[in-house]
Amino acid sequence: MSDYRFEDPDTELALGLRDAEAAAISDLARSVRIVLDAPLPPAGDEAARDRLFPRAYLDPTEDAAELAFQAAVHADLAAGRIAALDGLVADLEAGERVRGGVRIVLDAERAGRWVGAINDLRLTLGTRIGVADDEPEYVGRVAADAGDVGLYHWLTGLQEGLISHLIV
Amino acid sequence: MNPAAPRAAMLPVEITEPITDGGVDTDRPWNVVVWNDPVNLMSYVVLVFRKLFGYTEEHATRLMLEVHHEGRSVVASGTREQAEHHVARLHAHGLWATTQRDS
Repeated sequence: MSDYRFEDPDTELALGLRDAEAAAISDLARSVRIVLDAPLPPAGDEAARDRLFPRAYLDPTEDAAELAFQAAVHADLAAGRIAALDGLVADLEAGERVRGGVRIVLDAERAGRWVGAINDLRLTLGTRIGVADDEPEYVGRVAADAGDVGLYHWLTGLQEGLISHLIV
Repeated sequence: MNPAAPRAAMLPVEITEPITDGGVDTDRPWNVVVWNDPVNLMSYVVLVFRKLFGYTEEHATRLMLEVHHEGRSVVASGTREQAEHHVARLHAHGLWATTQRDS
C-alpha cells in the first residue's frame, strides 16, 4: 500500500562496497536467480526453492486451492523477484568505480528493492547453510573470504543497515 | 476460571446442534498467518507489515513480536480471495505466510 521512503525526502544513500563484496553479491544473485527461474530447483536447493515459494495452505484438504493459488501467482512472484535481483546486479555494474571497490547511490525506492533482493539472497543462503534461531550473530569482515556463513552474516548487516534508513 | 461462578453453571446441559449445510461454515473468515523463521530480520518484518497493511509502527511491532515469541501471528483476515492476495504479497516479500479458516 505504501512505498518506502527516507525520513528526509532529499536524502540519497551512498553505499560503498569492496570489489570482493560486490562480486560475492553478484555471484550469489545469479545463483539465486537460477533457483527462482528453473522449472525444477537445482540439486541441493530444493529446500531453498520451497522457502522462496512456500505453500499458501498447510491443510492438505486444500490441495486444489493450493494448486490454483500457485498457478495464479507463481509466475508473477518469480518474475518480480528475478527483476529485483537483476536490478541489484545492474546497480553493482553501473556503480561508480572507486579504488578497490564500487560506490552506489540509492534513492529510497531502489534501496527498498535492494532490501527485498538481499532478503531473497539471505533466504536462499540461510537455507543452504541451515541457519537456526539460536545461532550467535556475527558479521564477517570481508564477505568473500569467509565462505557462505560469513557472506550470510555480512548480508544480514548490509540489509539491517539499509532498513535502518527506510520508513513507509 | 472464576471460583465464585455459580455451581449450576458447571452442570451438563443439552446442546442443540445447529443445522449446517454439510459442515461448511461460510461466516468464518480466512486468517492470514505469518510464521516465525530464523532468517527474516525483525526490523524487516515490521517494515513489510507497515508497507503491505498500512499498520502503525506500534501495531506492526506487536505482530512481529507475536510471530517471534509465539511462532505465528494472524496479521489480517477476510474472504478467501483477500487472504490469498495478502499471502501472495507476503510471499513476494519473503515472509512465510499461509491462510486458514478462523477456528
